[in-house]
Amino acid sequence: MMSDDVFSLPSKVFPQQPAEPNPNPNLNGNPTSKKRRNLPGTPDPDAEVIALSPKTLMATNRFICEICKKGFQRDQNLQLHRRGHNLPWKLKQRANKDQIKKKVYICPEKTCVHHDPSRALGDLTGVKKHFSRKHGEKKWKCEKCSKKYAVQSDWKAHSKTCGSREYKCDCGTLFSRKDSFITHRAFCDALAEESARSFGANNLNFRNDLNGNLTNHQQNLDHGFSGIPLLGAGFRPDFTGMAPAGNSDQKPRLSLWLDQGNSQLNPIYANSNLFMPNMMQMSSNNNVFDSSNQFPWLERTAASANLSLFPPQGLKEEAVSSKGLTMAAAVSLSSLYSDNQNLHLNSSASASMSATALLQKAAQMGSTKSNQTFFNNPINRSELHQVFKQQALENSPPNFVSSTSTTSIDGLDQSMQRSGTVENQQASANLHSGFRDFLGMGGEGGANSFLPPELAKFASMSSAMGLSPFSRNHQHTTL
Amino acid sequence: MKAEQRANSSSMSLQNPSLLNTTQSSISGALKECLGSLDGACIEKLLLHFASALESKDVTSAQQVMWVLNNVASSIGDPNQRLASWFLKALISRASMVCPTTISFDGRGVLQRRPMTVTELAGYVDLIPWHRFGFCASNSAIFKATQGFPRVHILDFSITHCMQWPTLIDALAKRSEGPPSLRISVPSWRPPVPPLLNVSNEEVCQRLTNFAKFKDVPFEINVIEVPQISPMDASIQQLGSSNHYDLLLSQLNPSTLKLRDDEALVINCQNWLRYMPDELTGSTLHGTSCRDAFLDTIKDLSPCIVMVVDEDCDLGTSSLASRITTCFNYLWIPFDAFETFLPKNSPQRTEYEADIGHKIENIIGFEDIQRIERMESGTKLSKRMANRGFQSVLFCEETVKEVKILLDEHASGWGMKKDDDMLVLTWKGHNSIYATAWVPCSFGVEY
Repeated sequence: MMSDDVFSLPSKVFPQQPAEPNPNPNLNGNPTSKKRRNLPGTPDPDAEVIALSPKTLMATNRFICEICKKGFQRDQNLQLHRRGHNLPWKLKQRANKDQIKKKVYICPEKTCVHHDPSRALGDLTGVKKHFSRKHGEKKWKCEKCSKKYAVQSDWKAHSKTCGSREYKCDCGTLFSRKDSFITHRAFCDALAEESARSFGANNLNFRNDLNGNLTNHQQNLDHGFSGIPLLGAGFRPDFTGMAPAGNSDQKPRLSLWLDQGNSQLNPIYANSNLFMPNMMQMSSNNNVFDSSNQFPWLERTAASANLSLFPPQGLKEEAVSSKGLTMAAAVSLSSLYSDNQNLHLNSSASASMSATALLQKAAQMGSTKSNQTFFNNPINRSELHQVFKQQALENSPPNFVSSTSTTSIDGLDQSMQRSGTVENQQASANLHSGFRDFLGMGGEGGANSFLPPELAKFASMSSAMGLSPFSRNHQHTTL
Repeated sequence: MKAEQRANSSSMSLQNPSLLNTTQSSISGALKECLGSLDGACIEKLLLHFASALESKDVTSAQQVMWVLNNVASSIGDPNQRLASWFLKALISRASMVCPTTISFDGRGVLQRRPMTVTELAGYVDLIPWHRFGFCASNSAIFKATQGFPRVHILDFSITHCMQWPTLIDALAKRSEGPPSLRISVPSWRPPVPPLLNVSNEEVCQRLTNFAKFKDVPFEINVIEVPQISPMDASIQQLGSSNHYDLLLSQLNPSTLKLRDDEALVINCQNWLRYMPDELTGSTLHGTSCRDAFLDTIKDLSPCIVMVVDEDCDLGTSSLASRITTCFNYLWIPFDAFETFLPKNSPQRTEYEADIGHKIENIIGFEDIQRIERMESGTKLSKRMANRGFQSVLFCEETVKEVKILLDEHASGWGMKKDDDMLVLTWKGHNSIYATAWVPCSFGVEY
């Protein structure tokens, strides 16, 4: 916010670009009173130029609590934290507009054009990002196209749009080429199951189909991951009403079921007491939402899903509350297994959904289904939030690529293993099942020569001659 | 020659090159030329040396070369080393028949290959364009040739278990005049070579049927039953015994195949012809070879197009030495491609290389009817087709464009060239796969 009232806000002085690209040193401040970014590298001549060392610049938590040494990115956050120690805290306010001097920062890299004070950058975050982008290590890697980024927000922005022309099979595998997608799809198990469902039973019997589907995948849960996405399919009834209908494969029968269900469920929903004890019970058991304990949780979810999807069989309390649990479970499920597995939630947009978007959606669902007690339950919200937070944490390591190229793939695999979620293993299996197109992993020199057992005879010969399998320097084949 | 081109590409250094001088002069003579750097050319020479030692039953010499080769070869080294290791295995397999007392091990030096699932196979054909190139060119030509026909019948002779068809089904579904009724006939028997599937033919057919239904293409798939060979004959290594083909040929007639007049008949030979014996034997019809008899038979079915896609390499000759050279200089191509796209320790890569090793073992280790891999170059195939009364069909611009787009989606290194009527897939400039289209000479139509 600029202090000078002399320069008010006529529209002609508030163009897209600053009025003067090369500020006359005699000019007094910025020609507008609105907070507005200058072109990078054209700072306010009156501003205070700050030069930070690379270390200080890239230090993520500069504000340290003197009691517990915990670091914070912003002073405001530190102040709020200090409350916890019963220390005097004060949130700074921009009270004294007249006296606050604008700070600009120069890039610590001497060879950089922004090292010049007259080309300093206007805010700390900006110069940090610049330094990373230009002079830093590209640590963030897009899973789809392997493009690397130094700044996490750049990577995030890219990931949202990357591969929007990609093909995704129902089983969750991604393809960048149409013909590989088609061929895979033709033979994929997912299609076989779908065929069995849509061609076998007719719509009114879908209950049985879903039953078959779910029991099928309960078995699969023990082995691997392939069942999970279709388990999500089993949860489609919960979402179809809410989610934008993008997937043409979804059948209208599901809304039929919803109508059926609603009429019978509403009277019970009105009685929120039925909910609370069950939900309290479920949420108090933290294991339910513990992502490291997924399989037992999923089995339970599947079990409850079985119950929840048979409302016509007679509404019992468990059925209702399980159904409520199912929705939360489904939301958590989909949040845990994002990207590839989230196809059913929002098939029209890109696969990955931010945690906040999911929370919003969950909240929406709560209101449309007059299920507000469930979603407004603070305990449940925090549980869900915990899940999302965990998912966000778990999502970051797999995209971290170590700088040494020779170990990059191994590092990626390791970090995927570390994060430990089945989703990542499955994604790992899909992405790294040996098909590392275009990565050109030549690798280092070969190991010792492999002596097949049938040539052990020659091994004894060679050792007798004092010749061990020799190391080789080899160059990559180039033509 | 290719050997020179690869001479610079990868080299290995011996720790103690001088020690080699202590071996027999026959070997050091061969090695003197490439002392200090054991590259592809050198390996080739060693292999040839080994082969000639086997041919002349010179056991000592053979042992020595084998020892050197064994130190050079590595199934986890660079492409030349890997290739060498498979060649070595193949030669040893051969040697065990020649000098059974020298080495005692089971002649089957090849890894027991785990069969693939259908989805793995789908991935396999798309990893490199080795198969996909042929699929793309063929499907495009088939699409063009069958335009306007309400019914299409494809006789599919291939080793890739119908992996070619989903993309064609997809294309036919979007045909402007609506999809035709599609019928595919596959023989119940195929040469016992990789890629191997862990499910039955019926399962594959079922999935394809589901897919066609999903795409709203009227579809039918039939299996041409090739009568089983009695267990008595199974004692012979039936790697493509010509009996199978004779039995197959007997099924290729209009009544057994239920051919209809209103259907466009397409004959698709994908990596198939090379397995058919080419020797003139008395058992085949009219004293022609099995391969020629097959071509005659399909010509008589009046197809509207015949696709022939195969590996562009001449390995029909009986000379072991020339086979080794040619094979080594050809199969280097897929090994080099795997090197580029798969990491060193990838289990898939080991499996795919083992598949090629299987091929090598057959080419090098066996003779006569047991040697089923009898590749024929595109040029020779063209002559053969002309001799049997076929005329070539040029690939139209659209097809060429589609194939180019496909190759662009793969990494650079893969290219395509147009040799008159042939489309050839190239890797770093070397011919790998050719695709051709034919019609019987009585047809006067160009597509």
